[in-house]
Amino acid sequence: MLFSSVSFLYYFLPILLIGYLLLPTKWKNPLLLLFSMFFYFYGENLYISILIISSVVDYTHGIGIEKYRGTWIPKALLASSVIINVGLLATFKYSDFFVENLNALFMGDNPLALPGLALPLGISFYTFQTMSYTIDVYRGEVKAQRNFIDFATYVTMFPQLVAGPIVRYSDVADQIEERKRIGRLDKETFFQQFGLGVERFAIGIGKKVIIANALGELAKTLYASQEPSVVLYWVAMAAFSMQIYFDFAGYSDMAIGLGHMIGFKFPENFDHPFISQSITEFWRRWHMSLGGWFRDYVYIPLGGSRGSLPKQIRNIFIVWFLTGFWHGASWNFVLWGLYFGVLLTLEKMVWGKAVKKAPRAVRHIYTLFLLSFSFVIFDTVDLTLLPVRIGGMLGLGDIPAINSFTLYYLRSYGLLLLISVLVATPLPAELYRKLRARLGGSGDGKAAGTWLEVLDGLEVLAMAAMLIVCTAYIVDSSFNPFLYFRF
Amino acid sequence: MKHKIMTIVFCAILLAGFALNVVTPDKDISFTERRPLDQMPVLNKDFIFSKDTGEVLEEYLLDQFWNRDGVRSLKVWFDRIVLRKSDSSGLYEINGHLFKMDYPLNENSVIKAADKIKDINTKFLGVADQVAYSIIPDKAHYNPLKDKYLSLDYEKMESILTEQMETVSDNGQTRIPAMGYVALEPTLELDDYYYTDLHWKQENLKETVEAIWNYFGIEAELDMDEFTVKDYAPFYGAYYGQAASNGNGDQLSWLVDEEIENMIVKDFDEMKASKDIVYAEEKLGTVDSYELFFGGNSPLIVIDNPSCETGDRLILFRDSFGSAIAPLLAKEYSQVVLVDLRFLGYEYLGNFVDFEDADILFMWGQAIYNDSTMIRQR
Repeated sequence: MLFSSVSFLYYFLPILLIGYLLLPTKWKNPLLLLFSMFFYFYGENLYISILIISSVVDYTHGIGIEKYRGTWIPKALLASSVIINVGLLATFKYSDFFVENLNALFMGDNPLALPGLALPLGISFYTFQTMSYTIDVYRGEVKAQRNFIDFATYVTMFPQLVAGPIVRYSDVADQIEERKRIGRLDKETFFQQFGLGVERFAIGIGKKVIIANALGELAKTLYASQEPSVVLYWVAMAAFSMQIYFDFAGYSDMAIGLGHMIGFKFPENFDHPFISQSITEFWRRWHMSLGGWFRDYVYIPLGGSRGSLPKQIRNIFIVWFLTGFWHGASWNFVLWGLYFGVLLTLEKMVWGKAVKKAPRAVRHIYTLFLLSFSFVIFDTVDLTLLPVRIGGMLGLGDIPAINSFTLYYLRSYGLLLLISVLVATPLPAELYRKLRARLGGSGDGKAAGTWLEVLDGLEVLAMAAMLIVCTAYIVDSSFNPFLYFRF
Repeated sequence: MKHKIMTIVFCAILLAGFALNVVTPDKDISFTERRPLDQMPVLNKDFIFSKDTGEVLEEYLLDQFWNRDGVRSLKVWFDRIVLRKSDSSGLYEINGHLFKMDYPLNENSVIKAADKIKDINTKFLGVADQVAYSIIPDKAHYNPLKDKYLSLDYEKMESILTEQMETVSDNGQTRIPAMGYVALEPTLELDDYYYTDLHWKQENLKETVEAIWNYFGIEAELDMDEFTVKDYAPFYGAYYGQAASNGNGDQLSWLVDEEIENMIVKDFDEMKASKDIVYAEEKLGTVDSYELFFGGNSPLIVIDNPSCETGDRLILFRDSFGSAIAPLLAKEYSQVVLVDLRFLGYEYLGNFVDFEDADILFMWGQAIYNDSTMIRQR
């Protein structure tokens, strides 16, 4: 089930919220578990068994690790958990890729049949979550959860189940327990929390449905064109970059917003990555929960930035190879990860200091220029097209700078592109904050209060309008998948 | 307070959406989209445990969404007015006329269409002055703001076809037309097309009919005053639903006189409910009212006109545009045969059609030339 679907917005969510608000506190976790299981079953049907296997494995492993601490068993259980989770991922996500490459390299005229397994929704996310739980229990950073319903509630929690953010058990363990202890929230806290969630959800669905989907169509149309131009390749790259950002950041916003509504605070996943002034900074702002996962569970255990230079470089490349490969079972994702590996190594060891000293504008241009090519790699599953697209951007080959086809789409999508660029920066939020501060501090207290009430009312109206317009977009389209579901 | 109101409004929208969708009875057909709507699947064990459960239910919920047309039109409004997009899902509106962007020109397809016409010519026809082809311009060709949009290049399509339809003389010096060309473009203008549909209006085809007659040596004029004009409104054309337009529908008119009423129609599509009739008025108000003409598409229709005793025959290779013009063309022919190669492979034509001494016209819209895979060989 997608958040931007009729089934979710107008059936699943209202029924869940009614139940959630009416039921006594002690039933909230079981209800959430039930609805989360239905949420997953609706789209994935019997693949729910993989989710259950992953949950049971890490639940039992966690308890085992704690029970036998001080013996060799925890290490064995940790290895077992990692092998099972990575094994599920390898089987369902990468088996076709492995067989294809095996066939290409060794099998000649007798290729092996492709397993052709469908990718279970969100497997990359929930296997990483459950693994992180077992690792954290092994490290003694969290206590093993004894209540299976509470543990399964964490693993299957529908807001973050299929496309993140990657929520670690330590992020929500207290919240799962606390809600049982403190009972019903007082009204003010409840509305504060729920209202924040609504705001965040409305912003997220707008990013996904109005911006990401439309720019995805634009990128697809431009790349499919038989009338290339230099500007076309740049616009297609920009449209895809904005699509992938708003698709994923929109989903994260919706997840975080839904979390608020049901009483959970999930970690942030994006922090305006396109304002970064270096590639290193970009990765501190982009898909933060994944970056944090690889940092804490791969990079640091490998030695991180300690040890000899070759070892440090090795660590960076292992992490970025895995980061790329995590995004998809295709060589372009591996290349994409390694591209960042190279850039980050160079920033760390060669030109990072020079970049820091450069004027602000130069730092932005430097970062955006290098990111441009990364998004082209990310979008080009068929690597034979990569030289064509990058060559096109650089004006290589016999193509015009611009043509009527490109101009038409630039004109048609110009405003949306502009909006997307603005919304990708903190500028609109900052301007709104200043406006509130100014009006709130103007004249006498009564007038200021009135102004703020007007702004509050406009916010509510904007949220309602966003929801209704997004519904119109959803009803108008018959198929509306999230990009990140394939990862 | 803001968060309280925010919460209440949000929950109200969700609950209202839920209640309206539950309470509103399901519809069978979307008239504006011209298609049957998905119905609630039977929730048995097989369905619930099938891999398509979610997808099938989602399609059903989307199709049966409360006030679906109104909700979709909000999206079109938002695209056009707020985001200033030139088109919404490839459709745009100029002065009340809806247009669909068909782009780009597929030159290979046009060449293949020409090859198919020549192939038919070689197999069955072979008399150059009795065989002609023509292109029905896409409505967008007459868009007054054509330069601001992407559309099929009519002139280029015409020149490609003209070139393809030529053969080189025996001495290799000159190029000879393999068949004639009936230029329809000068006979039409934008208002000869419906506002909400891609098709032309029958009542505006006088010049077009006469151009075709004249090409085949028939010096006749179509006297429009002789006809009784019958009307049906509102006619929601194919673009109306796709564009989720809020505009008014069209008026669908058709021309009737005694001669047309006496025409004898034989429709070879055995599956059709409305057949063997020039104007199937029972089709008005159905999903596609344009099926008024001959009850809709058919691979082969033979129209005999007892009022015309010349013995002249016309074989018209046509698409849906041909349905409206055929009764008018038939006024100067004893027999008109309508062949739709989208539904009948041309290799089998010899079994059904007698080409002897007939005038033959290939007349398709630009969309068919641009996607000539629709012209079936088998």
